[in-house]
Amino acid sequence: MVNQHQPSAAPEVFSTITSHVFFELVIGLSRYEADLSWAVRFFGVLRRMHEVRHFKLVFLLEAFWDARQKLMEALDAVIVKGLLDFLDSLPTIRIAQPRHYQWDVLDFV
Amino acid sequence: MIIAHLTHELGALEACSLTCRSWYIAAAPHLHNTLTLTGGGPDAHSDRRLEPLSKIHKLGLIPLVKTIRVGKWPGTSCWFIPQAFDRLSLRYFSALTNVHTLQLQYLEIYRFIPDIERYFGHFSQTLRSITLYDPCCTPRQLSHFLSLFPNLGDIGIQDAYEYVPCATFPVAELVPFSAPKLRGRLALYNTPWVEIWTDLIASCGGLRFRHMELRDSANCTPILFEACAETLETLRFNTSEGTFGE
Repeated sequence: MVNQHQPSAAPEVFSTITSHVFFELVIGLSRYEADLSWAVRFFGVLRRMHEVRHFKLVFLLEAFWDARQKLMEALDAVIVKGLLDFLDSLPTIRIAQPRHYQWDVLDFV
Repeated sequence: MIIAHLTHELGALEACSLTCRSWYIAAAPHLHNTLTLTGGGPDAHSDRRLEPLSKIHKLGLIPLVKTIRVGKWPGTSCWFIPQAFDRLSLRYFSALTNVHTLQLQYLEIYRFIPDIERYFGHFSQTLRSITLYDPCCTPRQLSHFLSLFPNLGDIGIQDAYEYVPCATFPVAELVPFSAPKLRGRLALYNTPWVEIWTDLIASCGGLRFRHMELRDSANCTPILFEACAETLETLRFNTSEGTFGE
């Protein structure tokens, strides 16, 4: 869904969740990219997903310190620009250690 | 009390266990919670690959093992196969009846078919969580294997590799052993095998995962969302490529 679907497909697939207990969408970010043009499209998709179903948005930063700082700054900028104004509340930012070793790749955070 | 705070500090736990008998007794369950089998290194003789099993058996530690990790050294071939077991090592392995977590790397599931119950059946009542890294099998063999554990709640699969051996066990005979609960978490990385889930849905009457983490497994998204429509609480995607929605 993240990489292979067309832009319009994510909200459509998302709409199939009918669970009354669904409340949280976690986006894992592990790398900072200076070119954040993708983020505008990304938040556009999130907005449409939120229209389909409300959720609490969580960004999980799994990056090393430098990249983590840049990601946090980028997310702050996104919030200031109002790209996430469609949410009911500000997104939560969680921090986790980068996962390197295969044993840890699928360990839940 | 002190030891309870050190459950993830193996070095400190080892030091504590040397302090006195009561501290050893308190530390031992944590120290021996996880059994890791790596085949003894690249030069290990095939007869000695399961030696840790006889060691923990001799020390009476088998009941303490709750998690088993099986891996292999880089550059070595897969060693955790039925032929690695002799009568004694299989006996010790079968005595591990308190295990609730399995983390298996490069498990060539097809090699265990059709006798997979002989090797993994003793985990069936206690196993709650399984993680498979680079499992090698067909989707049907994988769902058959997972159905061995009726109390299974959490599943993690990464980079499943489809391999169809020349002499395949008839698919029709791969009937499910049970209907796993599957009420916990699902983490799926680069394993777009829809058939696993259609099989498990058929045998379980549905899936009830509450938490999902999906990466590069887009084919499975619709069926998983539909199957867990009533139970899903949290959903996690990763955007390491920065291409969400592309």
